[in-house]
Amino acid sequence: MKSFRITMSVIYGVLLLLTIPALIKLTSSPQEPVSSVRNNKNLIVTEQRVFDDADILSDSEEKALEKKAKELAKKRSLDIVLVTVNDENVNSPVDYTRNFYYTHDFGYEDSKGTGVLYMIDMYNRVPVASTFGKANQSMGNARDSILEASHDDLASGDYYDAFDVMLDETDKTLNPASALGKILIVLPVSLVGAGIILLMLLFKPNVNTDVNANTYLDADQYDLVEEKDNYINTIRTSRTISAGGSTGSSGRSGGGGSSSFGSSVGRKF
Amino acid sequence: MVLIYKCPTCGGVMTYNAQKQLLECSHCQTSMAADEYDISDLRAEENKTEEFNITSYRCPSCGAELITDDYTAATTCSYCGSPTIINDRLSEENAPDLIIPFKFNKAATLEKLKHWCRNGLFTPSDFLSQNSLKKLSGIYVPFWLYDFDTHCSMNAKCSKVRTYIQGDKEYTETSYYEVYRETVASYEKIPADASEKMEDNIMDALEPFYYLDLEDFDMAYFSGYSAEKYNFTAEDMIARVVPRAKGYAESITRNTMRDYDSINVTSADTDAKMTKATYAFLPVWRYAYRYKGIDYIFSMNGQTGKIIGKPPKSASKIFIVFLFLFLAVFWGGSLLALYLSWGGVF
Ligand SMILES: [Zn+2]
Ligand SMILES: [Zn+2]
Repeated sequence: MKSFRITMSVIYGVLLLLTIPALIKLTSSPQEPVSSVRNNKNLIVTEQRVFDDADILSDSEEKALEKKAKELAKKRSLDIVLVTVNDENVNSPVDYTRNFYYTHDFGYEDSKGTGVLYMIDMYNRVPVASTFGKANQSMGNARDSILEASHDDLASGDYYDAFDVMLDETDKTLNPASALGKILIVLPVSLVGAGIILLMLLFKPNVNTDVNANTYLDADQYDLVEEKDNYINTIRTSRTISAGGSTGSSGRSGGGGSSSFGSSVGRKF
Repeated sequence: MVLIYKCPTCGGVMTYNAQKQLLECSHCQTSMAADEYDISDLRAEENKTEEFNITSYRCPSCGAELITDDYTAATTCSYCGSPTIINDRLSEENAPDLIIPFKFNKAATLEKLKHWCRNGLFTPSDFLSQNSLKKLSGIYVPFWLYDFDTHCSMNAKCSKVRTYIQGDKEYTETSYYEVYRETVASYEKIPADASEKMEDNIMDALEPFYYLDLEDFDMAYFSGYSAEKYNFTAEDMIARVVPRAKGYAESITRNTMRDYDSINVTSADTDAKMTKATYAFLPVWRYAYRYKGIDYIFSMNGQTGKIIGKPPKSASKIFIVFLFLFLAVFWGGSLLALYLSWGGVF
C-alpha cells in the first residue's frame, strides 16, 4: 500500500510537470513573425512565397495565396512555400522541392529551417508536399491526406482552389488543439495497459526470495574441484552504421540537426 | 505422563515468555531461563488411559480430558487453560535435538498481522479489525533438518560477446567455449517440516529460520504453546529435500560460470548424500480469521515475523487502484501523443 502510494505520487508529480509546457503551448499565441526573425539574421532572402513557374495562376490568385500563406505562416510558426512547375527536366519532383527550398534559404526560425513546400508538378501531373525541420515531425503524418484533399480540385484544373485546400488543411493539422483528438486513440490503449498492470499486481507470484543456494551452504566446505574452459571458436558479425538516409515518399533523413526532410507525392491528376 | 511447569515460589503455572525469552510465572512474576528450571518442581501425573487403541490424557490441574491426537506433545487444557506437556511423545527414541524458541508473543503477533494486512494493497480496511471468529495459536512444528554432501559435475556451452566499432561498421564477436566445472559442497540443516497438518509450501515459504537461535531442546519452551511430535520420520521426508540439495549444488556450480555472457548447460551430474538428520522444533504462529463467512489462515514465522497468507481482495480497492493506474497511463499517453504530434516539446 505504502509503496504503491509513493510510486503513484511520484508518477503523478512527473506527469503534472510534463503537462505544464503542453498547457502553455495550447494557450499561447504564435511566436514572432517570419520576417522579423529572418531580418535579425541579416539574411538576403526573398519575401516571395508563391512561385508560379508553370503559369497556371492568375496574378490576383497569386496575390491572394501569397497573403494567405504568409498569414498562416505567422499563425502556425512555419514557413510556407507554394510552387508550380512545368519542366520536362524535373525527373524527381521530391528532389526538386528540396533543392528549391534549400537554395532559397527558406525556413521559419532559420535558413533551411522549419517549413512546408507544396508543389504542383504540371509535367508529371502530381502534387508534392515536402516538410522541413520541425514541420517534418508535426506534419509528416498529414502530408498524404493533405494532398489527397486537394485531388479533386487538381483533377478539375482548379489549381488556386487546390492550393487553398492545402493551406486550410495545413492550418487544421497544426492547430494545437487538433492534437487533442488523437487522445481518443490513447483511451482504449490505456484501459488495456492499466488492466495488465492491475492483473500483475493482483496475481504477483509468491516466490520465496529470502532463500537461495547459499542460505544453507557451509562456506568452509565448498570447493571448486576442477574447471576447464576450452575455447572453441569465434563468430564475427558486422553491420554498417550508416549516416545516410532515404528520400522516398516519406521518411526522415538529412545530415542531422534541424535539417530533417520528408516528402510525399500525391496521386496523378 | 502429563506435565505442568509449576512455579517454585507460588505454585502457579509458568509459561514461556517469548518477548522476555524467559520462563515466567503468571501469578508472582517469578522468572528464569528455561534451563534454570529445576525439574523436580514439575507437576507430573500419569493421567493416561488406553481404550480401543486410543490414548487419552487428563489435565493434572482440573482432571478434564485433554484434546489430543497421536502426535500432541503440548497443548492447553480447554477447560482450565493450564499449559500441559505430554512427555511420552518426547521419549528417548524420538527425543528432539534442537529448538528455536518463539520470539513473538500473542500480542506482538496480532500487531504484526494487522500491520501486514493494512499494508496489503487490496485488503479490505475492516479485515482483522472486525469482531469475528478467530483463533491464534503458537505451534512448535516438528522439522527434520538435513545435512547434505553434494558433488556436481557440469558441462556447458558458454559464450562471451564483444562489440566494437571500426570505421562505419559495428562488429560483434561471439566467442564460444566448452566449459566444465566440478564442485563439492556441504549444506547444513535444510529444513522440511514433519507435520501432516502443516502445508509444505507454506512451511517452505516461512523460511529462512536463523539457526543462531537454535537451543538444545528443553520442554520448558513448550509451556504455553502447542506442539506435536513428528508425523513423518527423517526417511519419509528425505525425498522432499534431495531435489533441493541437488538444485542448490547445481546453482552454485552454474554460478562459477558467471564471467560468461551466456550459459547453456548441456549436462549436469549431481549427487546429494544425506549425512545427518536433526530433529528440531521451529516456532510458527497460525491465525485463523473468519471474514464474511470465509476462513482465512495466516502463518507467521515465530522467530523472524515473516508472514504468509492470502487476505481477501476488496472489489472497491481493486477499482480504486485500477482508476489510479488508468489515469496515470491515460494522462501519460495523451501527453506523449500531444508532444509527438507537435514534433517535440517546444
Ligand atoms: Zn509464581
Ligand atoms: Zn485443565
